[in-house]
Amino acid sequence: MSAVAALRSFTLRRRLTGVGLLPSLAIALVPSGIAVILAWRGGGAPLDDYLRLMAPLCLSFVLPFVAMFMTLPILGELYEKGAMGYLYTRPAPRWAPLLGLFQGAFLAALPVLLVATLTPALVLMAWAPGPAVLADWFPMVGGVFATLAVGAMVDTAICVLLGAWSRRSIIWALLVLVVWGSVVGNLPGSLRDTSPHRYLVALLRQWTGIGEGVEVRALPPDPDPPSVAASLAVLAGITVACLFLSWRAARRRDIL
Amino acid sequence: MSVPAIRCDGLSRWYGEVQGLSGLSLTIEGGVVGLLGPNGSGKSTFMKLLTGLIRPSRGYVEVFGRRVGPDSHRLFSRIGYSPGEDVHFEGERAIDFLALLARFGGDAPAAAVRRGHQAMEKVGLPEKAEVRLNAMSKGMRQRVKVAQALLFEPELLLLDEPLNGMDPISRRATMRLVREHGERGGTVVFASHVLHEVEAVTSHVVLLHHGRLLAEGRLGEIRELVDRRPRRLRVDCDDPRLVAATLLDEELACGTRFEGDARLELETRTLAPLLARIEELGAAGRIHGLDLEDEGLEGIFDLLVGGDG
Repeated sequence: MSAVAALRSFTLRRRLTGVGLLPSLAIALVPSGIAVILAWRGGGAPLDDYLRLMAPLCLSFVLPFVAMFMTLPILGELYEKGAMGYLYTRPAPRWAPLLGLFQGAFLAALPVLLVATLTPALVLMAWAPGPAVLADWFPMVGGVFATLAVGAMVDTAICVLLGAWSRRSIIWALLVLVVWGSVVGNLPGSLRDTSPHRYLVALLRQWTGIGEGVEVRALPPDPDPPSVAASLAVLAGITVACLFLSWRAARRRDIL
Repeated sequence: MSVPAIRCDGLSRWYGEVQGLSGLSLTIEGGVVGLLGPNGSGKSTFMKLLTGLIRPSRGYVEVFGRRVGPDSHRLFSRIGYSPGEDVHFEGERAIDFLALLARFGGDAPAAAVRRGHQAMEKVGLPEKAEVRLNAMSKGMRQRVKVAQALLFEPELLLLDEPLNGMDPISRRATMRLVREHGERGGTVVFASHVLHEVEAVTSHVVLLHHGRLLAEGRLGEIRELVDRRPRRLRVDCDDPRLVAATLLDEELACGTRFEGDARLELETRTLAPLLARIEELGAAGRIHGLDLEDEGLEGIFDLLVGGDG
């Protein structure tokens, strides 16, 4: 659909060019900074460091903030300044711009998340005492990135919902993505089962092998981890539900 | 029977405790209609209700016979809307902004760009298509806003204060564009708080004040309405007291005030009969001069607002 594609291109252009990219890029480079410190201090096993520190950091910290920085400024610009009025007075249903925005923000997040996963791996590889075994590294980096990509889909959809629903979307996003997601999702207990983060952690463990050979304190043990299929189904369900609720919210929200 | 372009009944909208529009019932068949009212009178609220951007607290509005709501997007292939707010697509070039909106109408990317250029030509800004919106003057951005409303040659144009910030040449061009749209059989709702702007494009006006419909109709009809309201005029005469007593007795004047020994100010609700009687008194040599200012549109508006406000 033309309207979806139009807003997808618009969002991609706005988020990946100019100063709009800087906040998410700064967040994405935090793991690389830590990797430099680890490499400078020396010792340890680089691949273990990557899985023990970088992967949880990317999942719990980089992912939610990148999703927020990619989605909420555009929604804020469209809603708070009344610009959405130009889009909602066109012969396209109200879900079209939201879907386009979701797609654009999701696609824009991917290269930034690739920077967050790949750059620290390259740093650690470069400073590793012996020659790096790429066959060991790239499945790990690929697994982390694939998990983050799935997470970006969910978190972007949540941000679209919050941006379409509330004028205080940043506060809500912090509560939902960081508190409910990263914090609750990392705490042992039954509440964790309600957090999408639990399913992302399950994917991360399955796709990288974390937990089998590496002890990761940042990722508490899950006695009954969901399977990959169940995790993907839950996360896809959350994404679809959020997009549907975004459309409902857009129908109810006044453009003042 | 043709369907009116716009019909609303009991249309009301509150913003918390603040009343934006109250019980507006109105039918606009077509043509160019001026929506007049001071700032805060409910013009923009009415426009947003017409486009479904806000929901009514009570009542309903129909455009081309269909209720307006959040799912009435199909209507917008027939409506062009230029909001009162500035264009907030900062950093975008005018042509990118227009092409984005054209794609919402179903155009492919190349066709959308072509349509955007055509719209810029319509508003007389073809050479500014590549200029970024935040590098444009307010007047230019206003014209871009009008251009986006014209993208798909809509039947109904809703223009909310379109002349704000425009230079005189742009104003004339935009007013001509509005008149031409009406002459081609389209409908235009032209909201403004400046009466002479509306007078330049139409004689059919809707006056709003404090969210209420103050008057609606042809300017002539509104003048008649005004004529039934107190008007003031001054006459020069030798014996103001006698003239005042005569006109008060005949119930042609409802108030008098003496200005010296040879001048009388009269207040009347029946202007035409009073003028006829003054003419008779003038012929009889009892009145020598008459000072009746044509209040014009501004006066009419002030009078209506003052009377009901």
